Amino acid sequence: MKERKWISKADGIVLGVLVLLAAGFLLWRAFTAQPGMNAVVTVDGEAVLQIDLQSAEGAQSYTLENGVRLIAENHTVRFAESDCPDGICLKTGALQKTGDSAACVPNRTVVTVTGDESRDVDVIAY
Amino acid sequence: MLYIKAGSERAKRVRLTVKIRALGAAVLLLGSFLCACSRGGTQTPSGHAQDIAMGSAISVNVYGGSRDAAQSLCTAACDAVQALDTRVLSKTASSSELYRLNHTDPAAFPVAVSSELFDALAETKAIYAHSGGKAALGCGALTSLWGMDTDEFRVPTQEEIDAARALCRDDTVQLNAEQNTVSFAPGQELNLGSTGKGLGCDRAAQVLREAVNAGTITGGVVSVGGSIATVGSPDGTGTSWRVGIRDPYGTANEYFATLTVGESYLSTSGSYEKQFTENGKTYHHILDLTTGYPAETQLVSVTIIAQTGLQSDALSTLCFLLGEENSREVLELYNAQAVFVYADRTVSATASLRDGVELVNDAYTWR
Amino acid sequence: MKAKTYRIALTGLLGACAVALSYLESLLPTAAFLPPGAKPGFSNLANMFAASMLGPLPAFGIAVLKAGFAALTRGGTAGLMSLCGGIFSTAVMLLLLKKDRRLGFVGIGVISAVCHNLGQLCVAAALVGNLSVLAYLPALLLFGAAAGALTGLVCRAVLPALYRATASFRKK
Repeated sequence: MKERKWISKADGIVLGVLVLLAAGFLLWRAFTAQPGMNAVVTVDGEAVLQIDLQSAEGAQSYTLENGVRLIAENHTVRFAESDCPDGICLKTGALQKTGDSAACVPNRTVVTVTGDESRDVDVIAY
Repeated sequence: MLYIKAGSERAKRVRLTVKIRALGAAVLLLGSFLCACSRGGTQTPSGHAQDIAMGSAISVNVYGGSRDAAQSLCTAACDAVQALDTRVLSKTASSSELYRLNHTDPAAFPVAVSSELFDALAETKAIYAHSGGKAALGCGALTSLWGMDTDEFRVPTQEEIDAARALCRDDTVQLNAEQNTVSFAPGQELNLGSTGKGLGCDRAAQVLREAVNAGTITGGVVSVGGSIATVGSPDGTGTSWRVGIRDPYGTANEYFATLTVGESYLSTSGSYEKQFTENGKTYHHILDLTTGYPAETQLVSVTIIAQTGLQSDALSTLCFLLGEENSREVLELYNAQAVFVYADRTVSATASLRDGVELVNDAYTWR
Repeated sequence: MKAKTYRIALTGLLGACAVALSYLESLLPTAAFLPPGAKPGFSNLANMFAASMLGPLPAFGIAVLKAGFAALTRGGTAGLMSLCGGIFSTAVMLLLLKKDRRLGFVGIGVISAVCHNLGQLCVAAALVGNLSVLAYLPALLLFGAAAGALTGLVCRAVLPALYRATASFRKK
């Protein structure tokens, strides 16, 4: 028991690799992630709603069947209301960039911001 | 507890390296999974910008050219729309000419306006002259009464509607093209709500067209609240643009048909756009001035392809009010094409456009 | 006192500590830059003590106790996530303590914290049926590394004292 060090060389490697990988990934995301086009909402893995973030300006509220309420505003989307005990989804805040994601695990609800991949058109007239 | 013998130091190091590699591979895999979804569309834009003006979303995508140039062009195109709004069109900001015009003491008429505003007023008035009184430049009294301009909707009383309807006419609106002067009757209010987005497209498209001509980019797409301008081509070889027409019964980014177009201006007017429900009845935002109420029609949306953004925007509202039959003449006059969508999900299009329209949602059929 | 009784008593004590630490942690304010729901995991200290001094069964017992506490206070989903994170991290911790001689306490703390996060995240992904929650992973890794290092240091600092303090009991 006593032989084990406070901190060893191997610890340094583990820490270094972890921090490098995670920080690298976060930095890469920060520089390359594009503003999202759509937000896809899934409940139990099924897509139940798709919100166009490109045209989302004034606050628009979407209430899902499980009582979770989302607000799309200013090209972002966030959880606005949920009956989950810890409210982690509410604390996640507004999602904006492609790949951003927020989850309300107790309600099995995930919001993910996606790019334009679902379209085979250049633009939509509405 | 086991102690590792000195001889196995190397083996241990190798094992650690393998572990690190495995971890690295896992993270790479995760990374590629997360970014795999950022590709798509016919081509990847070299620049993108979005903004909000005229109460709607502006989005500009450009193709080809260097990333930096593309990005600054997109911003410039958005700024052009923003400037048009604050300087000329805004209904609420006192910085705008239209606001000042509508708040001018009628005793001071006629007043001179910029040629930019004058042209927009004149062209809107000319197009709505084909409406048989259903649409007018001077329709502000009714649109404000219904709260259409501020999104504070309400159903007015019949007395209010009758009073406002008397003010919604264009024969009292005098536009003098020689002196760029405007006058209209007291209580009247000019409204460019149905053409402003199209005009915004014109301005943004102008920025992009200059850049295409200069060879900075190969093309671009502008959307001002769903009114579209396409400029150049995605790859510089004259490839067409594919434009989706919004599914009137779907969510905001679902489309039921695609249009293959070259350089063009498109606008859609649909009853789904702004709606509100009061006492169980749903009202849409396209008012018929002859009744003072939202237009009663079998149409749910009309999409126009025209020569300018303003024309496409004004014509889409006009043709929605007129219906397919009565729209033919004015469409021909402006050399415009149209796609009509009916409440029963049947679709029709002007003859020359028919081949360019592809229905991609099975629920929709040709009429 | 018999060794067995002693072990049970100490396990209970550590379990109580773990629950108390979990509770204290929940009182901490959350910072905006932290991944949502991230907790420093101080209660992992109790796990680490148990794993290094008492062996597998008490260590897993504490993980289960913590999960039960989470289930009671924050709902079944949080409980399940805590259970899987706790079991996974405890298993890895035990394995490392037994088989590995190169890592220090910081390394073990870091790895077990990261494993805890990983286990929770995998359960979350399975529950919601959507892999995109894994996007949290990098942020959680960073945070877990920092929190785990701290836990490891504290553990190393306190362990010898606790070891000595309990030496008389263990001999009997």
